[in-house]
Amino acid sequence: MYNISCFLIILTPLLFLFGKEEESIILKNKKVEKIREFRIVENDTLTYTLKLQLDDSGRPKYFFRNIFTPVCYTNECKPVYINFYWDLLGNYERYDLPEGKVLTKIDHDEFKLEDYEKLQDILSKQNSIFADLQMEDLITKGTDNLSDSVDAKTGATLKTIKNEVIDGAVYTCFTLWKIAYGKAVPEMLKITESYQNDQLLHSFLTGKNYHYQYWAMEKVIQKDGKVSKSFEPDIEKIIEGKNLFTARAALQKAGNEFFSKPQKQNWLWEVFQSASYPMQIAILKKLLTIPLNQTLTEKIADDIAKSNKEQRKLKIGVLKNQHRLSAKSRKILDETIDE
Amino acid sequence: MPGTKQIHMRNYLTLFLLLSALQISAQNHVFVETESFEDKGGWVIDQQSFVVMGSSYLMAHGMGRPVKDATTTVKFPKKGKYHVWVRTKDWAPFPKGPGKFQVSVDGKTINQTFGESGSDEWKWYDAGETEIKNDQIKLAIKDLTGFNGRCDAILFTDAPKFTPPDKLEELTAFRKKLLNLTDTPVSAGHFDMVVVGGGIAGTCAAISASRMGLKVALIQDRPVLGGNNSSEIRVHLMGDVDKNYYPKLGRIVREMDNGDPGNGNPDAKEYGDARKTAIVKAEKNISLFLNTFVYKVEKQNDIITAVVGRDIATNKETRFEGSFFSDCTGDGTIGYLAGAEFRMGRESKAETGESLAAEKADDFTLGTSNLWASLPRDTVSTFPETPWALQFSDEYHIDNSKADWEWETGFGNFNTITDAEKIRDHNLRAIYGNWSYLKNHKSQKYAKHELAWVAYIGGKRESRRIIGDHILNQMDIQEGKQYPDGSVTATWTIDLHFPDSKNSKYFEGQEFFAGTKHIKVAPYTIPYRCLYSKNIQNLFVAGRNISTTHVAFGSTRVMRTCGMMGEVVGFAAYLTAKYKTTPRDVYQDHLPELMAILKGETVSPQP
Repeated sequence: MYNISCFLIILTPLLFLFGKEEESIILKNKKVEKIREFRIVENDTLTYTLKLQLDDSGRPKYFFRNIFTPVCYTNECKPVYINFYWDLLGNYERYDLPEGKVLTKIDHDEFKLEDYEKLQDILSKQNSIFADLQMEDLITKGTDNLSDSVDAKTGATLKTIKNEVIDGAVYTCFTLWKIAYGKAVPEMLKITESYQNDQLLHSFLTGKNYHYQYWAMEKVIQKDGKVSKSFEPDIEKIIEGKNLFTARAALQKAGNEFFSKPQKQNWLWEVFQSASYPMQIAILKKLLTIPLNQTLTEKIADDIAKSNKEQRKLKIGVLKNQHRLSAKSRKILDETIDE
Repeated sequence: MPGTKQIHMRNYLTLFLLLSALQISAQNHVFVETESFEDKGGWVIDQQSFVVMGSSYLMAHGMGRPVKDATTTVKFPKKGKYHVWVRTKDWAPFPKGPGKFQVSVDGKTINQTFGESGSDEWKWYDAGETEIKNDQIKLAIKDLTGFNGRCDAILFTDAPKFTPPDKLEELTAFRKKLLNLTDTPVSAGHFDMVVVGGGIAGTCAAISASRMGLKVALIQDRPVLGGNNSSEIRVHLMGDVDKNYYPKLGRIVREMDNGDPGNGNPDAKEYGDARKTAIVKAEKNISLFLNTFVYKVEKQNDIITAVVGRDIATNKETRFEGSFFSDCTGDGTIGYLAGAEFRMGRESKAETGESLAAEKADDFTLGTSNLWASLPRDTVSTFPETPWALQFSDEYHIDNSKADWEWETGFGNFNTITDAEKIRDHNLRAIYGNWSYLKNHKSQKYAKHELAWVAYIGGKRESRRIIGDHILNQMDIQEGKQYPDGSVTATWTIDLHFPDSKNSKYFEGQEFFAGTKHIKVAPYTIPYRCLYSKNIQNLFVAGRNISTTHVAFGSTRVMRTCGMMGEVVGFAAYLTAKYKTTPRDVYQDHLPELMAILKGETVSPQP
């Protein structure tokens, strides 16, 4: 189904219509790039275009918006032109400005380089102070001055809040942050869902974006821990990868069956050797519930002597939970317990 | 038959005791407490675990750069072969910690590395035999990493097969004997008021009492005053002093206030340690005892007669007699030792009727912060990988060049008194692990940043609350009840921290980052009855350990407010001395006079 629609998009880029979206070709640097456009209706008065960048083969790359928004105080509005970029799951990534456009502060001073950098920091922060606040909570009405009452509301002192906003551009920061984390985000998720196919999932699992990895893991690992066969190598890569958090999540999500073959068990022990301490603990906890092959139980038994207290306890637990142990492992286990 | 066996056993026992006695008389123990080293080099004294260890220790807090050797001269009763024992631990055994150090005797390094055993229990480690060739030797401890290696004591013994004790009780007795500590330590004299704890509350209490003409002892377990607001911890002062019901209160707090440098400012001077000490030293009625940890209370019935403190460096002990005592320790240490009724953790909704209380009573407390800060430098610097610390990745790390209040550990998963060392160490593992991530994986932003300061003294928020004649609760605060003895005005929100949800997701059970919800309050007053113990007759309290519920504590705990409690305690102590009565009787019989003082009125003496 998804493959077919993709195929159609490639063949009929001008004709294919999907809901409210429009599609266009932009000639840029003499190379054909494809952008799909979606009309997002936020409310009766606010409608805008969300764009999806596709690669040469029509695969989705990222979302963006060419934003024009008024930033208004009591008596004055000023236009802000800015482009926002999100990944395919609606995570804000970066912004840039259309040619010739700048950002200004309330006194019409142009943003300095550090203001632009700070804006990126502010927009990147999902758990910003803005999340729970309305504009009127934050600034004194009709000005761009931080309100004294902010700390009562947020507990943060004026000083802390100053670190989270750009002086003289509080309203701009606030307005833009609300766009970065606004209603377009769930729309992006829906659109990406429509692109889901094995190829996308492979690219998500093997890429560097951990949001993509979690999203794809949800798709390829079933609730009971069963991993779709063709994705097993991808999951292995994540488990042996450098990001402790995705590695641990993959390890914990994958069911015992995934680790049932001796080859996989020996591979997991290799991963253990070079894993960070918390990952080692997670692996040992995983092994507590898995029937293990004899090579591995012997390795674990041999390893007990050089363990710290926490690992020793877990290794003993792993061995105790085995139905079958070699005489040698049994001896080590008994001696260790006797200590 | 069983009878015979018993007799045999007894005989063996007697024989054994006899033999051990002989052994003791023949042996030479030379016991060296590291905190008493003449030259501490770059090592620092840590007394935070005194209550569980019975001692302070030296720590190599170098933020990842090895610190200078600590050295001292040790005298020996006779030359010859001695067995050496080193008391230490591996503070981060995951699986092996970084706190490595070595010991040398007269420049000769003992061929053994300490602090990496993989066990985080304090223990004596056998360091083999060494030949003592002179009457006195130079003993040194050499830090190898700058990552918080620690050493409690070193023992030389010529007794064969002697193993020094590890059990607290035996070890304490052993220490006491070898340090020649007696049951009757040197007396510092008798004071009208003995204030234990030199944080903002205790300092203000001492100054207030002193200015009312009382003879005061102020005892602090660190070399500086100010507690959480000192340069050792660097928490800023919160709570307002300009909304006071009794404007006279807050004057001493204002003197202590060094401006607001925020939390964890990299510039130590911003916190005004020297100024605070100077203010206290200018008080002719105050005797200041720094570096003194009070660990013992003497009492008759329900009256405290004296407290005993030990110097955190020299281990000399001093006894302080007093008519009245003020527990400003934060931990309610004096009240606890004296048997005062106290509470730790959260009450249940059913018990207090507070909407913000927990469903079930539990051990949950607010945590302890070890703040830190980095500074931009001209050149690129490196920071090692820290496999023993908490691990971070692009997905989760704290992208900040300094800490604020959110860096906090100990939400019921650790006991903030008995696990104080573990809590601090967990904070260090978070700080170093995160910093290592930023330096090694976000070099574009952090290559030229360098750690400028990391607190090794924890800024503790909550532990015991000493119960008084009134327990302040949420309703008192939110309904703005004005009791006749309402004294200190508090303005801070009900600010009860909890682990940040994202931090919990990544570090479940090992959280080190906090969130909060501020419940706004109108200025309200704290009754005087919250400022003394209900069952220890001559014990005042001020600071975070006053008589409140956990919920109310969320608002009273900030330092300007605590400082004003101290001021009130000083005034009340004046009345207890004047009428030779108790803190409770001041409420019962002399409240108008206390309130008149708070109002700044002069009243004619009462009968």
